[in-house]
This record gives sequence, C-alpha cells and structure tokens, in this order.
Amino acid sequence: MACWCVVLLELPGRHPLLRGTLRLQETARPGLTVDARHLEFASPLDLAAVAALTHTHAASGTEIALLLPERRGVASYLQRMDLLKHLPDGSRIVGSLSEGERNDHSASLLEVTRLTGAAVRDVNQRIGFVATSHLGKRFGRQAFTGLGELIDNAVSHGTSELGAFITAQAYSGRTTGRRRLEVSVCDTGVGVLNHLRRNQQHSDVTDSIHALERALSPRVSGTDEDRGYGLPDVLDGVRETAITSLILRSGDGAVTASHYREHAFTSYRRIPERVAGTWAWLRVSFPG
Amino acid sequence: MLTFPVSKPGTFLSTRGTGAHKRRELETALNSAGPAPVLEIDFTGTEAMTHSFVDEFLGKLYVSLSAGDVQAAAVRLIGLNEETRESVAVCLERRKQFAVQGEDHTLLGDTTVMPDTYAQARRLGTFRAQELAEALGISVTNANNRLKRLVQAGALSRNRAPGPERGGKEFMYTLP
Repeated sequence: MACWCVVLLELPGRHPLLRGTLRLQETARPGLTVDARHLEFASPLDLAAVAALTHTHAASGTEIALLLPERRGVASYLQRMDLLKHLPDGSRIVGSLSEGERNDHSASLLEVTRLTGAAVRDVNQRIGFVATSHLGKRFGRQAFTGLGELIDNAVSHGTSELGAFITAQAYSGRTTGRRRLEVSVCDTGVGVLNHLRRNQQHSDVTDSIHALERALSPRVSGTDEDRGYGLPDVLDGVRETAITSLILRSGDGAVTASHYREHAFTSYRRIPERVAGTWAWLRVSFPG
Repeated sequence: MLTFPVSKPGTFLSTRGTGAHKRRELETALNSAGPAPVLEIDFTGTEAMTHSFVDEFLGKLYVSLSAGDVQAAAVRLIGLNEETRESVAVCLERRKQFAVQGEDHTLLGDTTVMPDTYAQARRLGTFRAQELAEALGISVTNANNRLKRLVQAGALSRNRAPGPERGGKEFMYTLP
C-alpha cells in the first residue's frame, strides 16, 4: 500500500487548500497523515476538503491521522467546526485540545456537515439562516439562490457512498467593509470531467481543465436534458450587488473565477495533485 | 379551487430532487381534486429557492400542463417575494414559458409578446379569437397561437363556442 503524508502547510500560512498548496508526499509512515501543525487559519474549503480527502483514502483501507495545529485557537476552531467529528472512524488525532464551552454560533457558521440527499433540507435551512442573519433578508436570499446550486451539484452529480461535506462561515467585514459569506462543498463523486462525459455531446472533453471551462458555460450538463445553468448561476446570481468568487478543483484541474457587475476574471490551472470528486469554495461579499 | 402550499414559513429550497418531489406532490393533489380545478400555487413562506429547484418543480409542471398530462382550469402563482419571483421569472424565461402571478395578474417568464395579449384578453373578459385579433390588429392565426399558449399556461380557459360561425370548431375564451 502506498504511504502518503499530506502537508497542509509546508510554510506557515493561512487557508492552505484555498491557496492550492495541497501536497501529497510519500513518507515511510503508513497511512495518510494530515499535518496541520503549522496551520494558522482554516477556510471552509480547508475543513470540507480534509473531510472529503480523508474519507476517500479511508474507503480504500488507509489509516488516517491528524496532527493538530500547534496554535491552540486554530486547533479549537477545527474542533468547534466539527472537523474532528467528521474524520473517518478510527482516525488518530495527535495533539492537545482544550475543553472549551460550545457556544451557539448558528447565525454565523455551519459546522462541517455530511451532505446527502436526506440532509439537504436541514442544510438548506442552516445555510439560509446564516445567510439572512448575516447579510439581511434581501442579500441573504439572493446569496442562497446562487450557493444552493453548489448543494444541488454535490448531491445530484457528486454522489458516492461517502457523500459530500459542506461548511460555511460568515465574516462581519469590520476590517474590509464588506459582509462576506464563504461556503465550501467538497464531494467524493466522479468529478466534473467524468460527469460531463456521460453526455454524448461532451465526449470530446478529455481533460479536467477543459471540463471545468465547459461546466462554467450555460446549458452544459452531464445529462441529455436542456439544463446546466447551475455553475453560471452560482457566479452570476448576485453579480449586480456582490463580488462573487468561486474556486473549483476537480481531477488535476482548478479554476478561479470572480464576477462583479461588468467585471469578470477567470483563471484555469493544472494542479499537481489530483482531487477525487469536486471541491468548491464560494465567497460572496456584499456592501457593509 | 385547489391551493397548494409549497412550503412552511421560513423555508429555503434547493436541488432538482426536491423540486421533482414537490411536483409529484402537487400532481397527486391535482389528480385527487376532481375535474380540472383552478390551481393556486402558494409560495408564502418560501424565503428563497434555486433556479434548478424551480425548473424541476414549475418548469416541468407547465410542460405537463401543456401536454395535458395534468389538468387545471387555470394556474396562478401567489405569495412570491422579490427573490422567489425573480427565480420563477428566470426559469420560465429560459424555457420560453410564462405563468400568471395571482395577486396582480401579471405574467412572469417569457413575456415578449404576451403581456399585451393577456391585458387585452382581460379587458375582453369572454371572447372569441376573432375579437382578440381585431382588438390587437393581428391575424386570427396569430391570435390563435397566442391564445393557445395562454391556455397552456393556465392564464385563460377555453370552451367550445355555442355554434361555429363559419364551420369548423371555434372556442370561447374566458378568464378563470
């Protein structure tokens, strides 16, 4: 069996997976070790992706270990966001945790949650509550209309026995002047390329970057129905009022896209480590 | 009259699966309600819904109505807020469909030609295609095409006219 070590942060830093610094390194140690000792800040993508990644590896019998962040506050955050609870059964957690009181932050965050068809209703309510509590009724509803498509993608196209993982965090914008909501959905399904190729119309697509490029276009779907507005709606749903940024990783492809009014930025890149399934991170920033 | 409540207060709706489930619930209620009732789909309490949900729920429902798979004398949407109204409008426009908003009898969706036609139909109340064609200054064929779409969307009802004026079948159109 291959031995891997995931170094979340090769250099001390913030939200490593958001920055695309996932590195799988062969080591002498058996199993998958998620080394978060130097983690300084975790984004929703870091949390959901670690959950998806560890479950994907554990499904093939790999033993999982998590080395907790040395910073006590960061370790507590991983615990508070239920990442530890959502690691595969039998995972080894190395490091110390404080016995903190668990306060109710349901208006500003959604802990790591396993996203299945049966859980959609509850997840919708939790995410909708965070969005409207934090952004106000109007902006919150608008934000949900877009980000709900990520939930749909994960349960409709990203299905696997392992499910998908979702988490969200709202930020007050005291320093930036913009209220933000970040949501990440990481599934363990077939990935964008394989999904698109189920539709004969897209059988010419042979690599992940091309697949991501096509998936961001309207009326592109892995089914033969006339649909496929999901990802364009994620990006354009609130473009008149909010800056929308979306990062997608699937296979060995990644895309970063940002839309605001008439401005649009999209950048594709190949990533060294393949992602099984699809990882998505969305941020909407509304005026404060 | 059949009123179908889409959700409880404070509900957020997403996914095609949920939309399909909701449509099946509605079709079951419609089929159990007797012959072609006036259907009101009540969105009161629905905070927000994704376009995919709307497409699977409403878009496909209007396809079934057009095909005659389910029958209603009229269909009206009520209780929409600004955001859910926008979702309905976007979804129906993509499908080249439209729907009647119950509160003010405006059309949502693909409304390129229909608002004037529907407004004229509302002024006429009960009428034949010929009368609408004259009022709008368009051909009878064109009027018939527009009326067919309004009937399929549940905006108008039609019944066989008492006696054909020039042979063939003719219909009387009414506001439900």
